[in-house]
Amino acid sequence: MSKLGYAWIGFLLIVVMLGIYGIITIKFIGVEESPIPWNLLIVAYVFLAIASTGLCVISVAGNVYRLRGYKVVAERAAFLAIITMLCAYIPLLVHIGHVGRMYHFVTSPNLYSSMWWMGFLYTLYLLFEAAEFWFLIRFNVVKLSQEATGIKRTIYRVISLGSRDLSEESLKRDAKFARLMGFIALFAALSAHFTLGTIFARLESRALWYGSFMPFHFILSAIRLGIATILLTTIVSYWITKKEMKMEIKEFFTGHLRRLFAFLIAFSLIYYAWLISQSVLHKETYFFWHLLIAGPYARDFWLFQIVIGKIIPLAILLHPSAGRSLRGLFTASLLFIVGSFVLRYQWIVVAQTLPLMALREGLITYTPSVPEILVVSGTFALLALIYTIGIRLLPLEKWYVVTKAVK
Amino acid sequence: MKISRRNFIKGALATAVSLSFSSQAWAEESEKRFAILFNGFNCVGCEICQLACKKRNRLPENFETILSPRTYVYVSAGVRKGKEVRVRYSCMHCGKAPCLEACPVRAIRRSKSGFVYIDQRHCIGCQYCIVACHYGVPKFDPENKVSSKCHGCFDIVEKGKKPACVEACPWNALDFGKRDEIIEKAKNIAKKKDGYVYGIKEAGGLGVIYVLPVDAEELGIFPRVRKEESIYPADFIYEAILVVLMPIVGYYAVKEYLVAEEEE
Repeated sequence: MSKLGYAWIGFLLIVVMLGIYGIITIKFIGVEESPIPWNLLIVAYVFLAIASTGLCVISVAGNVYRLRGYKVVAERAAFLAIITMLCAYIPLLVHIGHVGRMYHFVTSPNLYSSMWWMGFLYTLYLLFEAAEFWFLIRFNVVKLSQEATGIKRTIYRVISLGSRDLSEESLKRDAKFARLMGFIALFAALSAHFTLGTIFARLESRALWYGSFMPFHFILSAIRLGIATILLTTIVSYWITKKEMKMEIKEFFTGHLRRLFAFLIAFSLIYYAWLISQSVLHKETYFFWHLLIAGPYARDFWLFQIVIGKIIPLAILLHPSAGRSLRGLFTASLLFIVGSFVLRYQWIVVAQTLPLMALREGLITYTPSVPEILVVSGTFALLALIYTIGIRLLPLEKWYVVTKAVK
Repeated sequence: MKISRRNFIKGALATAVSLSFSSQAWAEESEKRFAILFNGFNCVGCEICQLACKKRNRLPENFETILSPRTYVYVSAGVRKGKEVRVRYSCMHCGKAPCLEACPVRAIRRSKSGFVYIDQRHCIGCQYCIVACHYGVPKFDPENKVSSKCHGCFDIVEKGKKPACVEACPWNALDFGKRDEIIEKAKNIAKKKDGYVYGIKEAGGLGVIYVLPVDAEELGIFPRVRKEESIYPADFIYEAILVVLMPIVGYYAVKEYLVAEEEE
C-alpha cells in the first residue's frame, strides 16, 4: 500500500475514534435534549438504508435477473449493500434510548406498528443479502485461501466458513443458491423499504411526509442512490488501485447506467414539480413547501437539493463528452449523493419544525449537536474503512467464474 | 393437517382484516369510555391543575407553559378574534390513537377506562410515538430515556375516583365522567354560552372534550385532524400513473439487455 493509502486509513480511523467519543457522550455522559424527536442520527439511518436497498436492487439485477452489465457489479453491490445496512444500524441504535430493551421486539410485538415490521424485514433482508454475497464469493475465497499464507489464510478460512470444495458441482450449486438468496433478499429489501416509507407516510400529523405515494417514491430514490453509490465506489476503487477499468464495466457505466441514472433524476424533478403543485390544494402541506421554497430553508433547498443534487448531475450525464468520461460520472454521482443527503435531512427535519399544539406562533429551530455530527461522520468513515479493506481482501470482480458455471 | 397455499393466504388476509378493524373498535365502544371536560368559559388559567398533576406524579413543582417530560398538563392563554381563549393542553386520549399504533413494542396501552398510557419500564425510547402524535403530546425524557405523557390517572379512575387535575380545579372548569354524558354536558354549555365543542369525532373521538369560545380548529389552536377515514384523490392518480408507467419503463429499460443475454 502506498503512503497515501496509509494516510487515508489513518484519517478514517481518527474519524471513527471521534465517532466512538460521540457515542460515549450521547449514551453515558448525556447531551442536551434535541428540540425535535428525530434528529441527524435518524437522517443518517434513513439515508444509509435507502442506499442499501438500491444497492441490493442492482446486485439482484445482475445476479438473479442476469442483466448484462449489472452482472459485472453484482458482487460489489451486494458487499456494499451489506456494509451500508450494518453501518445504518449504528446511528439508529445510538438514537434509541434503551437498546437493552430491544428484546421486546420479539417478546411483545405490535403488529400494527410499521416500525416493528421495518425492524423485522430489515433483519430478514440483511440475512439473505449476506447469504447471497457469501454464495457469490465462496468459490474465489476458497481459491484465495489456498494461495494465501499467514493471517490472510486464516481470514479467508473464516470467511469461507470452513468450506474447501472447489469442484465444478459446488460452483453450480453456489450459483443456484446465490440466485435464490438474492431473490428473497430483493423481496425483503423492497418490502422493508416500503415499510420504511410507510413509517413516515402514515403520519397524518406531519403533512410533508403524509401521502400514500411516499413509499413508492422511497423505492425510486433507493434505486437512484444505489446507482450513484455503485458508480462512485467502483470508479474510486479503480483509481486508488491504479488499475485500468475493464471495458465491460466502462461500457455499462457510460451507456446503460448513465442513461437510467439521468432518466431517474429527470423523473425526480418532475415528481418535485408535481408534489409542489398539488400541495397548493392542502393548506398544511403547502405550509411546509413554502418553508422550503421561499422560507428559511430556501437557500439550502435550491442550492443543494435542486442545483447540486439534480440539475448539475443531470447536465453532466447528458453532456456528450463529460457524461461518457469516468471523471464526469464520478462528479455527477458525488454531487447527487451530497444533494440527496441534504434532501433527506431537510425532509425529515422540516416536517418536525411545526409545534403541533400551541397558542404561540413560531417554528422550532434545530441545529445538529456536535456529538450527533461526530457519530454520523464516524459512521460514514467506518463505512469507507470497511470498503477500503474489503476491496483489497475480497474477490469483488470475479463474476465470470460463477456466472459461467450456470451455462 | 396440511394447509394449502390458498387457504394460508385466505387465513392471512382474514387475520389482517380483523386486526385492522379491531384497532378501530375503541372508537365505537364509547359507552365504556370516560372523558374529561374542559370548559374554556370557566377557566381562569390559575394552573392549579398543573400543580395537582405534578404532586400526584411526583414531578418537580415548577410551572411550565409547554408540555415536557416534567409537565403533563398546562393551560395556555391567547387572544383569538378579539376573545380571550384559554386552552388546557395535555394528552387527548384519542379513540384511534396514532401513538398506540406506532409503538413497536406495545409499551403504549389503553386502560379499561379508555385512557392511553405509557409503560415506561417497557419503552425502548425510539420516539416514534412522539413523531406520530396528532397533537405533539408525548415528550422524550432525556434522563430516563423514555417517552412520557399524561396517563389520565387511569389507575385511580378505575377505582372510581377522578383524575388529579379534575379533582383540584376550583373554578369548575374541569369535569369528569362517562364520555357520552360529558359530550351531552359540553353541548349544553356550548348552546347556552354560544361556544364551540371540540373532540367529539376527531381521531376516533377524544378522551378530552373541549368547550371553547372560538372554533379551535379553524383558528389553528389545534391541528387539523381528520374526522373520518378518507384519502386524498391525488394520491390515487399518482399511484395509478406509477402502476401503469413503471412496468412499461422498466421493460424498455432492460429490453435490450434481456435479448443480449440470450444471444451470449
